[in-house]
Amino acid sequence: MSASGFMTENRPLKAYALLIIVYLYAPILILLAFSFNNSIFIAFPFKGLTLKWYWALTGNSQLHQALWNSLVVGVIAALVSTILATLAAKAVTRYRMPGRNAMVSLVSLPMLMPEVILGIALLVFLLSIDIKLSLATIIIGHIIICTPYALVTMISRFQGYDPAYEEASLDLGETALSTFWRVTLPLVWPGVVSSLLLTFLISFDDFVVTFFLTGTEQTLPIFMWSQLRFSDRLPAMLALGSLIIVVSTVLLILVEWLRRRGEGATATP
Amino acid sequence: MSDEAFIRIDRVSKHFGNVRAVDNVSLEISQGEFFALLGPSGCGKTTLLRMIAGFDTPTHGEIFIDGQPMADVPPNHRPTNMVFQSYAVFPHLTVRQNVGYGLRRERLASEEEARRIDEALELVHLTGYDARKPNQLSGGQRQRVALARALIKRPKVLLLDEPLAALDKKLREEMQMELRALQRSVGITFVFVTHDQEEAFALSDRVAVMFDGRVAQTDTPRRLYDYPASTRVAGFIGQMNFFDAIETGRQNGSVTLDVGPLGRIEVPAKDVPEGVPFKVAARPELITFSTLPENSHALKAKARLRGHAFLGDRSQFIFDVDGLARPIIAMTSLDDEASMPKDGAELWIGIPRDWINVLPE
Amino acid sequence: MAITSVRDIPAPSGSRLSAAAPRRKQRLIPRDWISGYGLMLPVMLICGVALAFAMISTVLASFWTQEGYKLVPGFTLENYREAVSNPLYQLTMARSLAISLTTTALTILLAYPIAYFLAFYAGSRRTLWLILITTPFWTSYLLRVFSWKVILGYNGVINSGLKSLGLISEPLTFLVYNPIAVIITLVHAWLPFAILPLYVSLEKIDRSYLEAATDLGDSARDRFWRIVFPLSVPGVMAASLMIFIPTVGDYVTPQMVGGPDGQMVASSIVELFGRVNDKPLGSALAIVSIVIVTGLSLAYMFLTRRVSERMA
Repeated sequence: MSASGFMTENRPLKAYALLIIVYLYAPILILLAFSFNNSIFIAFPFKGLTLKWYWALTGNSQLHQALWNSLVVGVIAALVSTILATLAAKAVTRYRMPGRNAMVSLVSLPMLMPEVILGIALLVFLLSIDIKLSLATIIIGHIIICTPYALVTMISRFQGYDPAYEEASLDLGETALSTFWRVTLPLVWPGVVSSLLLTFLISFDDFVVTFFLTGTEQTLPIFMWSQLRFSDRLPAMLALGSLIIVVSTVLLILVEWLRRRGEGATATP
Repeated sequence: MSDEAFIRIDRVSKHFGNVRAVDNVSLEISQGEFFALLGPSGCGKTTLLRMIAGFDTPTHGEIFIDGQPMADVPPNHRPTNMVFQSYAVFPHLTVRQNVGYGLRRERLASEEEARRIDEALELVHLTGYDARKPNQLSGGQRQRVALARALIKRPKVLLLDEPLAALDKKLREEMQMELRALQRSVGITFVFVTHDQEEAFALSDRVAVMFDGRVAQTDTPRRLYDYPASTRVAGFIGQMNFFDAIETGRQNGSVTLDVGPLGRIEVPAKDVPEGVPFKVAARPELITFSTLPENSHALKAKARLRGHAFLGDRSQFIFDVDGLARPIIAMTSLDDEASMPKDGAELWIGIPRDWINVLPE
Repeated sequence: MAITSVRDIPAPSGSRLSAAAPRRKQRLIPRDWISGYGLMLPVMLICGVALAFAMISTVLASFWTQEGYKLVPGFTLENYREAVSNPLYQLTMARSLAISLTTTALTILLAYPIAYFLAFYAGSRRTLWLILITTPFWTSYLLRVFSWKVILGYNGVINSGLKSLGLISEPLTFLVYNPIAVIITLVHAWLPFAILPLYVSLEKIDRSYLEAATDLGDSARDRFWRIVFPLSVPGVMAASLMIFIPTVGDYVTPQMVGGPDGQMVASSIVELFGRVNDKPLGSALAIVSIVIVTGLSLAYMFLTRRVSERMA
């Protein structure tokens, strides 16, 4: 597009956009800044720079256990929901069997209802069949909340390429299964990777559904929620939060980059 | 044509919900034939091709290839291979990997596999492109990859879905010649789908014209053009002038037709379809015009030249005749500008006896 | 395949093409349906079944009673009567709706110009802007909400900042623990998510429409109201529902910055499942809220369609 001419610049709008960016980022930057403040109080004035809140994290075994639990839950939830969604996305985009919209709607329900209600519904169900709350119940809950997002990601990936690729493979003598390995999977791979990362982050970050399904083993957000009540533990939580934000932002940018690269490579001209 | 059809499509129908995409089609295609399915979009030609390949299952009827019924044969076990409209050249594989894709199943020794791939690449003039990725190829090159990939399987039948539609005009004409030569050299039966009449004529031995899921006519290109079976076929294949006509008399095996302001003609009774509405038809290039009436012409009338257009290798003239609802189109390859009539000129147009068709609607 | 059945349909007489009469076959269940259902099976077994049973058990529980920690099956409408008529639940429900609707409206108003900027003026930097606006907000919901407590709290960033500048001597108490604080926090949390659907719907608008409108004499303002806005209505609808539905049931924000006057219906539900320990009533209240949310969402969708049809 040329740099001059019809609708190419709008300074007031740009200034407004920058202002919104400031509004969005200010709280996060404040958290980051105070995580280095050498004071137990999160208040002005600054008392000097320190890394002691970060050091405090290294000796907290409860925190380490929660982090480990979150990683386990996140990895399993991401793997399972992405596999389920990949199969389901292939079904809805490639086969026109009746009832597929109803099935997709049912599975997508968690995106369409307040999380608290989903959490209590799952809790009532688990209680009614006498299942004890544990990491396993958290994993089930997370698979349920992650799958709709994985499904959206995978469906758009499947819609992004020509079904003729799979037909061509069948036509050249491959079976349905070998076609999946030789053609489908390589083509949807960028979607699989971004779905894995996205669902991991959703699981890793989830508080509300987890809150209802937690037994004695805590995930990181549940641990943080319990710590936020104690004012002497706040600075360490700020340090932990800053670490999480930085790491997950890097992961998300990776997802976005992979997604765009994937779209570029298989776009048929 | 041999007696035994190589591909036999026997009363095949395909319904999608209430839509009859293909409606009771029967066709026989011989071994080594270059056969075209021609029709406007939505006429069912692609569905028919996909049923031969095995991607769609007939609702009724059956397809035989080389004597074998195909009903329970999935696409990966059929003796057919397909060149897709989008070519479907796998974007994540190189040219060489694409061409060799279908050989994996055949478990060949690696030297044999390499030899077959080299042969196939040579056949489509892509030697040396082995390591390229599809996004580094032009449309024409991608099509060659798709061709080589299908032909390397040594299919009994090669199916092509609008093989040239994605190419620009000049490349399309080049590839037409090449496809034709290729088919001659490999001797495989080719069945291809197109909406382009010129392409169908240029490539094929026989053409089946399809409308609304049915085959309207199957014939050689020349016979299709000269003896279309209906006004619809005639109108789809090239241009045609149609005139209303009324039967006024019938005796000794001939019928007299009144063609309005153009006069009357006598035609053999067997040429006039019975019990259905019909029209008299003539191709634009067979309509003559001159300053004086030509007595030998069966149909003639005084006409006024409404306008003309110079098309390069020929010119098109549009005439109005009093009493005719639609203008008459004539086409000549007059190259002498001085002898061109001026717009508004009063002329006699005529149609020679032998070049008049009577077609059912 | 075992599931498919083959039955012979007699060929019509008189139309024999060849000596071998074709057998006309029809499968009861087409092959690709079986593949499709097979691929859907795992997700339906895990997510579909769990969700369906979760819904059913909650609905059932809402008609039951509770003795001690045990749920007693039965059928009573008492829970619904209580959920609808208790002034406490009426209050938290009404407050939830008021807070959520205000949040939705504010968020859309703030997000629209940004989305408009991104769609039409961001040029080649568009991707950078999008990543900048959306990426950090996929994570750390808890911390982002908490940061507002840190900012607005009695000894928080604003109060301590103003105090150390000497502008105030006592902390400003109106900043936090009220519905306004809840709204500020929710708007901040959901703004990035509102921008995306709005951006998508605006980005799809072909620039030639705008050029045509200008060519036909529209000013920039006319062009916006006659072309851009009507075409972006689906995006506005999607964005508002995306914010309204989760914010009505938000639990974390009112807990952190709402104070006693900022509690919403989710807090009531959680209390019924926790401290108060009346799960049937909690289930009934959850179902009442979801019915209200769904009803309002459907009414909103219906009205928006009507209005945009009339505009078109």
